[in-house]
Amino acid sequence: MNRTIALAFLASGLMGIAGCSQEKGASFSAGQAVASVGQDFALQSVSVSFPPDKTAEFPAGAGADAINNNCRACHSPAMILTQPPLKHEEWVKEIDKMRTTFKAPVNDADVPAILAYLDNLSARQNEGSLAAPGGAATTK
Amino acid sequence: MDRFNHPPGRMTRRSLLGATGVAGLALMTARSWAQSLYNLGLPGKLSVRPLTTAFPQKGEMVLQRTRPPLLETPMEVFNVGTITPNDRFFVRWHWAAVPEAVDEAAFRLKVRGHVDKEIELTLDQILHDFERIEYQAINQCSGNSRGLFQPSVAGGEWGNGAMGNALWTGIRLKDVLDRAGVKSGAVDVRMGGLDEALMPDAPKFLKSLAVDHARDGEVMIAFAMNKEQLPLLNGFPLRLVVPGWYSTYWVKMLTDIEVLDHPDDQFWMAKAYQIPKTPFGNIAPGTKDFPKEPINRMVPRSFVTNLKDGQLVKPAAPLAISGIAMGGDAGVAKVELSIDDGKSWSAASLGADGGKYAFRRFAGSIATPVSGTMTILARCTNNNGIAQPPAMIWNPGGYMQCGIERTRITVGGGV
Ligand code: HEC
Repeated sequence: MNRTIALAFLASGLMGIAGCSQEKGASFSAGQAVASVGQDFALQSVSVSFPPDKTAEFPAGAGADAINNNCRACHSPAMILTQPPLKHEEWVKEIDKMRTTFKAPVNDADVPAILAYLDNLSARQNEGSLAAPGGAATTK
Repeated sequence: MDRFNHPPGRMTRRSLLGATGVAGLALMTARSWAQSLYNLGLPGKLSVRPLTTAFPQKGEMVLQRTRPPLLETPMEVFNVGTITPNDRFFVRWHWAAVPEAVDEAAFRLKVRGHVDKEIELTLDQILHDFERIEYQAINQCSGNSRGLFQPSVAGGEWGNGAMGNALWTGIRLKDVLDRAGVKSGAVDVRMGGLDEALMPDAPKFLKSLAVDHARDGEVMIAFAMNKEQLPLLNGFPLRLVVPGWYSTYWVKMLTDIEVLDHPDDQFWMAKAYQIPKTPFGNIAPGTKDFPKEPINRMVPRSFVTNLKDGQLVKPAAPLAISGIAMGGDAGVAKVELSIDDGKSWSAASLGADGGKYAFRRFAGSIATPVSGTMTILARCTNNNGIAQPPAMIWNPGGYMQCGIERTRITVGGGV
């Protein structure tokens, strides 16, 4: 098959990008004083609500109680459910990081059960039987 | 069953069946069928995420995590122009104590620490007492594309959509620092937002710039994004803009500026966001001991946006290729395309120049093969002569991905 680049690439000018001009360029300085936002621009107070977590609990499984009790205070279960398959030692390190750096109050007695849950999560992901964490906050 | 080799993008029911497998389906509730799902194309791991429109001031986003919000921009958004709309701009918070309301009149920006006099500025002062500056700049998460790392690393498993380009309007950080009067001996300038750590003794999210960088006249305290006030989730009312540097420094809901007479050695500067001190932060997977430094300047990247990986195309026909490029800390000098795995390259044409820190569009065309597949490579070189590295890079933090992207096309019957 003839895939020489000279033949394969057509004149790129054909593509005609809209507004393909060379404005600004080298003389551009990000510090120069300009603003397309007028002096009448005003900021309005904002008050919103963040949506609830659709997957507020870890899916059932051995150790689910332990992980639900210790690993939801600071982030959605999705933070953990979307991790790539991790090795046992990597999960151990993550739990240590949560406790030492982020001051997660984790019960010593719960650690083996949390690890069992996490190891199982990685095993299921490796075998391809893990569903996408739900939590789409809307339906379409 | 191959659950990983599905083209990224919005999923149909059929591709979803393939992607989750029978066991996965059994775990899904009937309700999940109503959700739109998005496949980020992440290799060797769970790649599917829900699409959501439930977040305030946000349109349809890829849901990485609800609390604290991590929302990714679907790649289709980057196929339209060079400016990322505010309601599609990616969202990233570390701690879940993010205020849901900000009162314009009560808000203050403090400058304190190693200064002649501490000051507190109202938003009205920020809008009217300082000279305004404005420029386009790309805001890209340090961990953008982490989900594409091989071998995988833990963290936020982003596809390529933790980036965006906006027109930012605001005032110079330098002018605000000058008003407080930086004392000699100042070393770092540390920024904090309204968000707080959830545990009293845990590290609040704070980031610092060297004092000379903070006073370079380009670093901006932005009050407008694409000529509107910032969405709350992108940092309303004020956000630091550090053009050419990764997003981790672009502190949102900026309320506290502390000038330090010593290097900032707290967690988010000294322990987190460390990259190997090597070109492109790249090391061999598994390397344990290496010199580190805090992540800093961005590097060039480019993405084909008009084709999806795995797309079916017509045989033996011209095929338009277009996308977006970034130069990192310097403008885009050129973008080249290759269809022979980088043995030879052909220049693409470049779109309008939005300034050295902005996305720039590129376009070219190839002839598709008669049959089989073809892989299209795009490579950006910036005005400092730095080109994207040929292969995906690796480091244990999953930072700074910049390797040349490969887009596979398949010649298909009936296309
Ligand atoms: C005290 C708060 C807190 C608790 C409780 C907590 N975490 Fe975290 N966790 C964090 C923070 C903060 C991050 C970083 C978030 C970010 O970067 O967005 C994080 C991130 C993670 C990550 C992503 C990888 C990384 O290191 O950034 C994993 C995995 C994780 N946590 C697992 C756990 C597990 C397992 C538990 C329960 C044992 C847990 N967390 C409990 C605060 C917490």
